[in-house]
Amino acid sequence: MIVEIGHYALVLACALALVQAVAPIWGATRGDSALMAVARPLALTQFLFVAIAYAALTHAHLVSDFSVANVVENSHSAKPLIYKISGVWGNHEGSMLLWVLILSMCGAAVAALAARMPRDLYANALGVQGMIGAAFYLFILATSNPFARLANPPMEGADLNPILQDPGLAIHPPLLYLGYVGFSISFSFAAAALISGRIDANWARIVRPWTLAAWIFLTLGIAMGSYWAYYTLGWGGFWFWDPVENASLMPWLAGTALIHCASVMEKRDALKIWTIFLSILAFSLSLLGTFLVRSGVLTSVHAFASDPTRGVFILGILALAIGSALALFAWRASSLQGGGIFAPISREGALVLNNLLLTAACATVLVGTLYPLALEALTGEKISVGAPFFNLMMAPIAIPLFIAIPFGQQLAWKRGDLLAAAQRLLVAAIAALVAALIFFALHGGPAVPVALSALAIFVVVGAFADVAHRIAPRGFSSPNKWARAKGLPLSAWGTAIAHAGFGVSLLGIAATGWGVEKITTVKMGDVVTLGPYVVLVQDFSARNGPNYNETFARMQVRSAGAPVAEIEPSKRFYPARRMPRTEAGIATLGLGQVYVSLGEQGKDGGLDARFYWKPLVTLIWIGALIMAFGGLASVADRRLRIGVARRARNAPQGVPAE
Amino acid sequence: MLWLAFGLLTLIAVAAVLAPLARQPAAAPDTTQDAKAFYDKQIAEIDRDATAGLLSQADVEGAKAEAARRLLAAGRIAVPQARAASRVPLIVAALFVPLAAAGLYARYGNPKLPDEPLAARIGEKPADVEDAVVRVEKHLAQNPQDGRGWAVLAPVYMRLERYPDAVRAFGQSLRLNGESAPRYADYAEALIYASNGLVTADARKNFDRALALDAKNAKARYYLGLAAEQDGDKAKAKELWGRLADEAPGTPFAQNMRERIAALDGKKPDAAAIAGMNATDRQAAIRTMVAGLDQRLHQQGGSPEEWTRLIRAYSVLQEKDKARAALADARKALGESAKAPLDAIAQELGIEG
Repeated sequence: MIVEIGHYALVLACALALVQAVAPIWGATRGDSALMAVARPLALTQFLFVAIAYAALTHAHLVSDFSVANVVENSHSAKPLIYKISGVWGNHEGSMLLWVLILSMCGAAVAALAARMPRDLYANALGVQGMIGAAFYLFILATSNPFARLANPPMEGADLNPILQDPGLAIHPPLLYLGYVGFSISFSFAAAALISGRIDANWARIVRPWTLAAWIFLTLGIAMGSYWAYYTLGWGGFWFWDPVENASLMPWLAGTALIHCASVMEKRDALKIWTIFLSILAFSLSLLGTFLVRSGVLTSVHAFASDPTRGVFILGILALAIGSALALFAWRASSLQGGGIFAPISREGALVLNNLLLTAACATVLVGTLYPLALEALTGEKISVGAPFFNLMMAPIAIPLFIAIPFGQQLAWKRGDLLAAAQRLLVAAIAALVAALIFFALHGGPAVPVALSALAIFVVVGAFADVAHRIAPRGFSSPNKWARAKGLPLSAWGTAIAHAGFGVSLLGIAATGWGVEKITTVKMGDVVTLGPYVVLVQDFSARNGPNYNETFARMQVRSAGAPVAEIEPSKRFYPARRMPRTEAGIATLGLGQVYVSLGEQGKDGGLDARFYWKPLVTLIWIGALIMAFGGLASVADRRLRIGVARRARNAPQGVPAE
Repeated sequence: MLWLAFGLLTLIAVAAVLAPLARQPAAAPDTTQDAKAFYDKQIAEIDRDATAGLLSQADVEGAKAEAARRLLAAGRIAVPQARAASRVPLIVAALFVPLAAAGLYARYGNPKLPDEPLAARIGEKPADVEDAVVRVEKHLAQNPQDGRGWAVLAPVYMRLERYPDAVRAFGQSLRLNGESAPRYADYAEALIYASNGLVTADARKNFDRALALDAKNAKARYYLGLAAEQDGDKAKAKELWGRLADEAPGTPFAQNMRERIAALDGKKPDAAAIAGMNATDRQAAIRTMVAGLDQRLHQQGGSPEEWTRLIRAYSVLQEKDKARAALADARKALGESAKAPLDAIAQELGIEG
């Protein structure tokens, strides 16, 4: 009964979404207050119903109700509790249900906060949310129903893919979905602004926290996925330019540009067209990611569903959403009046450059991801576009971006002074130079990692130059710096922290150039030298886990003769699905890691293994955490913002309000 | 009870649609008001910053002028004339919601199927094999050192074609109950099934161990013969099987061994034998095979591939009715999970289920 109640609740949510797709927008164009107001109860009730449906499915997984096909295909009565819960979204149908759960949650949150918004704005935005919702409910019911039943339930299920039986899976998809779906809110608001033809600073103020929150979740989700791939796939890499990874990177790039643009719009009433365009782009790319992963176009760990009808359905949603949004955009964009005028050298100008670079990066990833697919579809030729392409194409975009970040932060609104900005970055430049010398002394080259790490230090120190200047402006001795620091808006701190996080990640990436990699066959008692460490292979052994058996090696990491860590890399085999999985042995030493991954065992008892010493590698993910934290500080700032155009140099104490 | 819950949910949905009508019609939206309120907040914010010493006097004026410019700009954009709330569209929507929900649920729902939580099913239903297996598995999860339990479970796994599980169970039985020729041979046999009939090196090693304990063990000798055949060593296979046949003259087993030896000599195996028959005999032989498959699928169930094979076979035999009936039975037995392959074959053969 519980299963069917969940199913019916989902169906009702679909019916409500259909009403929500029509009534509020109609009401807003007619000026009918009741039709607009209905958006709120509809969105709230819809969330209630989807939550019921989701709870019902979770219940079925928890009690191993094998009359539900989804449970049979993805669960097992002996599976640990946490994987019974995370297994609900560890498969196609369940993850789509999680998707609409988050979508309806966002809709309900907009409805709950609607009292503070202009009525036609929330009516139109929730109307667009209703359309997206209706499309996905119909998709779920027609092609991927998690409540499909079996009349003759079997006694046992097929278990979850072992690669997905990992704590990483419990966190990675929900974070990613919060990011993807969060962008649907800015998309809906952008469409609403286009429908009503009104877009102003108030709009930007309303949309800002949504966009930032989505960006934070997406940042964390991508970092989480990257670390998960790092420790389970056994190749020691943190980013593979895999199409599925790219699918999450593209909305992130567009979203990063969007949060910057939205802040310009809020403070300066400028870059409206950019903001609207990026809102549409960020969500369209999220949908594209969904299409790539769900349609079976790609085969990978993520592509648990390969069913052409699903692909066609999502392609339909994609075409409709992007097509109608862009049509609206083409129709209305010319009527969006830009407010603030600005000189090319100004904060606004810097952010236009930022937009250009980020969208170029986005386009590069898009081409690199879709070109092989298109080529295969048209000519049947299979090519793979991998790291060499992306590294070659992204470097000329990323490096100017990193150099420009601190400069952009120093420029004033409306018209800036590049020379003054450069002067204020002198400290950062000196820090970078010193860092370059230190890194060179430590590692003795090569040139690329030294240069990149110097750039990273420049970004980190430069990120705080603006804050430092505001606390203690030059030629103006402030007695109470602490009070000024506290008085600074949180968003200023957020900007500095997030940019510094970006630099920290870059430092981690730069340091890969100093890594040591050894692929070798080892026997018991062998010693492998890895940079500053020595790994002693103590013994090989085998043991049985709850649902796998594994071969593992005990290894000791030593530094200057003294043991500093023990690691146990292993190779697991899951008989139920007859699948292997490697578990890398990782020892975190300082900010770097010793990473060992096992390969095949040879006839003579030797074991193939990859040994890595990765200095500063953890900074890659720590940087992402710092970025997310900066975003959080910025979300917490609920002040109204007006960017004040500073008159050149005549007001030394003039600190721009945020 | 179920319908009561459905009714309650529907009521909530309809109430949500009608909610705006219950309230007093609020004032019509006024965007000028919104913009003015926003402007007031901005001015207050600027004043606060000025008091805190974060803004210079010149900047305060600049910021206020900027805010004022925006307020003026907001006033220039036309908004639709406000109207009174209309009831009809919402009442229509309130009727639409239950109808749409009922329509969708009628298409996709299964109101007659109850929940089947595993805990409730174990013990309630008449004990069938799978039920018993689950119970023994649960027992062994608690008492993994129970050698007798593994020994009971292992052959059942073989019968259920769960070969990797069988390997594990025979392995545990061997470990806990001690070495013996039959245990080694059973374990090795499971290994062969688990690797799709290939006599692996591991399996051979275990047969050798069985023979070391009991040189007469028939299973080990038979499979070592199979291993020889797979190696292409026909002479050795013939010798091993020949001796097995000689030891039990007149039994079906001996008969079987003779046939295997004959097959080694190039006599035709089954499929080729059928191809060599005359038309009538061939039809009869095929029909017998199809009937066997039909019986097995109805009694023990099967995979979607097996069901499609059956449906296709009936279609080839020009027995449309039986094909149709098999399709219907397959849908019933496999449920929603096998909808796609069944739809595909129904369409391909032009039969409707």
